[in-house]
Amino acid sequence: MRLPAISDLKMLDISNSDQVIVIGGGNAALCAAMTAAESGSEVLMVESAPKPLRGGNTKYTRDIRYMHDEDVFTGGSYQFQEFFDDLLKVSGEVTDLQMAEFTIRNSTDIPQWMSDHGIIFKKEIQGTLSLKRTNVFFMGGGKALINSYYDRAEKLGIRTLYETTATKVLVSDGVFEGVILKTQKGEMKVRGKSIVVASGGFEANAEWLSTIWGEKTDGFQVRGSRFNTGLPLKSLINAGAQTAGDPRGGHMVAVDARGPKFDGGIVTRIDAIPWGIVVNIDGMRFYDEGEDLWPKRYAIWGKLIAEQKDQKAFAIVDSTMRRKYMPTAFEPIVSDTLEGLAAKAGFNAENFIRTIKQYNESAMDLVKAGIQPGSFEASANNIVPKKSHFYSPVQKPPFFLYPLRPGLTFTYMGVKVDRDAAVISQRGKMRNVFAAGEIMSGNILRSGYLAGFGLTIGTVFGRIAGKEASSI
Amino acid sequence: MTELMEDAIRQFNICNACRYCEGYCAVWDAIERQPSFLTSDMKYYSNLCHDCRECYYVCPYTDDHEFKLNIPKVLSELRLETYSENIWPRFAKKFLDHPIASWGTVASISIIFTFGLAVFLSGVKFLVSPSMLSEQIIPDPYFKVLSLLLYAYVIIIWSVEGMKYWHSIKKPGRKITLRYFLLGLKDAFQHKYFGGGGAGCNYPGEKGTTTRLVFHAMLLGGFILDLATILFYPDMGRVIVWSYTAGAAAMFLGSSFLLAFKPSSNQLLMATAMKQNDYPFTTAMMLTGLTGILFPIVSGTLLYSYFFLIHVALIAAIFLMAPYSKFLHPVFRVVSLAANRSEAESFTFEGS
Repeated sequence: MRLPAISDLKMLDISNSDQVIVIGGGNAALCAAMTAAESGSEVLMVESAPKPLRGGNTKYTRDIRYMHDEDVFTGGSYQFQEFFDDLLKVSGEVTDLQMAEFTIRNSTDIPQWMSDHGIIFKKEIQGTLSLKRTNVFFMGGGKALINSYYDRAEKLGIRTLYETTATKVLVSDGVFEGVILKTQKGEMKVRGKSIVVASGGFEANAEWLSTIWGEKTDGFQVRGSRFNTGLPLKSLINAGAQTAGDPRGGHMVAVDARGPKFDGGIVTRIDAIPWGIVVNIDGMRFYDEGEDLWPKRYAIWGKLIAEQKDQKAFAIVDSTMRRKYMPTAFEPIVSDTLEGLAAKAGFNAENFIRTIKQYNESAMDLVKAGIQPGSFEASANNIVPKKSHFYSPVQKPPFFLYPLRPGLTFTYMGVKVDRDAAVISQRGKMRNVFAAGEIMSGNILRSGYLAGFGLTIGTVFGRIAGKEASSI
Repeated sequence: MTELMEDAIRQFNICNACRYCEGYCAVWDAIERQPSFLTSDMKYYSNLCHDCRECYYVCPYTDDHEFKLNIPKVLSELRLETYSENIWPRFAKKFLDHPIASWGTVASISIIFTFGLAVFLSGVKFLVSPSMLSEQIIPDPYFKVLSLLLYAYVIIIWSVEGMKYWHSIKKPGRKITLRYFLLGLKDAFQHKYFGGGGAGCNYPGEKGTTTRLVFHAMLLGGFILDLATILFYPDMGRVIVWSYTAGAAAMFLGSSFLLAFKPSSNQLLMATAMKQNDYPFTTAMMLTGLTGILFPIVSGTLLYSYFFLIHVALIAAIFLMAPYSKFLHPVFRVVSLAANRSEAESFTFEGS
């Protein structure tokens, strides 16, 4: 639907107190909006991004995890216990075991439902083979999914306001009264019978982040949507909603420092780390690069780099390691000498040379033990910090360097909800305020991340929220 | 390296770190076989791209993002460069630079020549007499010899150009044997990559359709049918005439719709110079189809001779222009599809 100007809002019959208002424009919002419309309600969707950038963090997804027997969508069955164990393994600690179980058990019909709503799944997957059995991949990734859902939403008669932000959700005695919508042209109060807030986290809100992370925030890059400023979340908290999840909770990985400040998405990640070494601006190693196995290792480096001076670090590999990791969006910085590399990237060359020398000397032990350098078994335990897997001396020029920054994908802290996706206030359940997606993912996850599970949460709770909001 | 090539490689590095478009067309499977890109790779991808535009509409990094990815456009710019670089003889490159003038001139000369030849061979009677047969206007042996000369000319020059293009994209792991060539030809005829991996082709609008698949197949099918039928000339039996007319009708409809969609398609996703080459080529196909339908219909009237000769002249013009125009695209497309077949066969993906 065409973007209406604020002057057109009057034409949209905004006094319609029978409508369901959905705040957000990503997967959870669309699932809620479509379900509410299919249940017979009129739906108004409010997306803060302009149309070409719509879809929140869903744009940066490509697969969804769900519980299943053997089926046509995946390479094998994935039962409850395994799913649940995987979740515990990556997140370390689940906020609410019952909510996690509830989410998993309600995920079984997801691919069929998606397929019914226009999503095309991939028949063959070339990469990411480790997810082939547990997750289903859709063609074209998240933006293709978003486009299909918006098409469906339009057919269902859902009205979408782009470039419109919900700045204040008005709740009185646990009852939704209206929402203040802001566009470039002004503000306006809009009523509805219920509201679903599916506006994501607050990863793009530097001010909010700095109250949690302090000055470190300046060194962060946001992989997620620049529109995830968390204003509707803040407004719900101000209206009395209880919070769920750790304010520091989030998904933070190592990204290329040359990437954009916002919306880096999938492409800026650097997964060269386990093969080579990582030093900070002082030219010193600070963590075991080969410590953990995928997928967990992927998620620890963001926070590790956030703790370094200026939130900077540098991943270095030599020419023997160049093809072992995924291609990168930016070409590496190349030099035939280690000094040259340090000079080009701007960190302490003297310490760096000493670090590398010390690191490379461990190679003698491997040779003695007859272990292949770079293999899983290859470890160097006589250096600090040790390198527990994939150890191989960094010595064959040319050398390649990737400057690193912490890249924040999304935040976990959100509002507390029950199984009906209803927002819980200090005084109990709100009557007609619902939340779905990232904004309530803190009810389930505290830290870490399981690939494709964000969409699972959004799809499970988005549909519940839409149905409940419609039945008010 | 040109700025255009540098930017194309910059864009493809980002694509290769993402790979969400895997499955849409052969380009996306092909990039996964390379850790980094050379100019030869980019030239190859430019002709492997079928311009379905799916990769633009599903990309989160397009014009509104600082990465400013626009793969259909950059590939159409490179594609035109590969045509230009490999045209042989070299001076004929000018035809590609000035497509409308070239097509206009060549078609005009061809029409004048054809009428002149008819007058030379059969006198001026056909200009006024309604009851001429086509072989009375241009006698069969002349028609056959001229046709064969034109076929030979196109095949020879296309081959030279195709070889030149092949040498510009060749690298270890990418090879063409007769078998791969036939497989590439098969993929082209089957329109294997016109379906966007099941999502359709985002053409002319931003939603997936089968528009281009249907009309391109009509144009190609009609053209092949007419080429085959004309071998029977001057046998003008009922079946021959009908199948020729059917081929011409398919050509006319296919090219008319392709022409009609182009102005309303997203202009930001194509090189302007490529578009300028598309219009006269498709128009020539459309007019050939149209005159091909009309001349049997007006048989027995005065118009017959005119339509027949214009039809023949347009075909001659298309053949004359084939090596120096948009009509190069089937050659480079098939070479790329063949190379893709060979690469795909020798490559095994090391998944993480």
